[in-house]
Amino acid sequence: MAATVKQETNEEPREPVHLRKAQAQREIAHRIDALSVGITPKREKMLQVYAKVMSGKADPAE
Amino acid sequence: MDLERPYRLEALWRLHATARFSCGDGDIDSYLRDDALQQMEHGLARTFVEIEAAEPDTTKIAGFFTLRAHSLRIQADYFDYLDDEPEESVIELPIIELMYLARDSRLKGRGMGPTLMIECIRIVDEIADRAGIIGVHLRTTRQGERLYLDFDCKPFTWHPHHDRARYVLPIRDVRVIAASARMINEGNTHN
Repeated sequence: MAATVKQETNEEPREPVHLRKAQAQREIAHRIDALSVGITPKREKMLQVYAKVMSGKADPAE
Repeated sequence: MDLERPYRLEALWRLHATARFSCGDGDIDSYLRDDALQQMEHGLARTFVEIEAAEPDTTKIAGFFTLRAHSLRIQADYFDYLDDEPEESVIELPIIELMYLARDSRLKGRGMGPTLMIECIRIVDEIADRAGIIGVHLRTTRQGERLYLDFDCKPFTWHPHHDRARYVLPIRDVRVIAASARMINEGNTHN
């Protein structure tokens, strides 16, 4: 589907640079996304603190 | 439910008592007092303050955070398949930067840090509804690092200038934390 750019050497033809840059963007985005861990016990605890504060029930030494 | 909340979140404006805010870090206090409003007026950053709900805007600020648009820039030659790009060529990805987040010293140990962090995540979640971003880039001092670790934020090793002061929260995690916070605010207990 993607157009190719002819090289002057005998190397394999490469995709246009804008497509390769888009691939690089996706690669980085994927690596950042791979750091996702969802709602962990630590985050659960932070949400509980938030719930207490926002309900006016936070302990003085939370 | 919102009417019963002990704090309200507001965009910073001139009546907020920034001069009386003290988090224990002079540089951060100085930013809120001297720079934050000007940066707002020039569209460089947005600062939000947490105020006690029953008090007027002129009351002491409980805490604040500052966000701005940011760009993650990676040298193109990092990628084998971009080795024919000019040396100065970069790959850019949109991200939100959390520049500052601090609570007033009088509220230490009262849950204000996590509260500010979750309010911040809720704002980023709203931004992500309107514009593409890959997450939040978190800058921190050594004192602030504990909060980001409590939220399981990851060291931002992908950042070109990576150091211990940079963390990242992927947008997928922003979405799930914000969704949980919404449930809390809608009156659903989280336990």
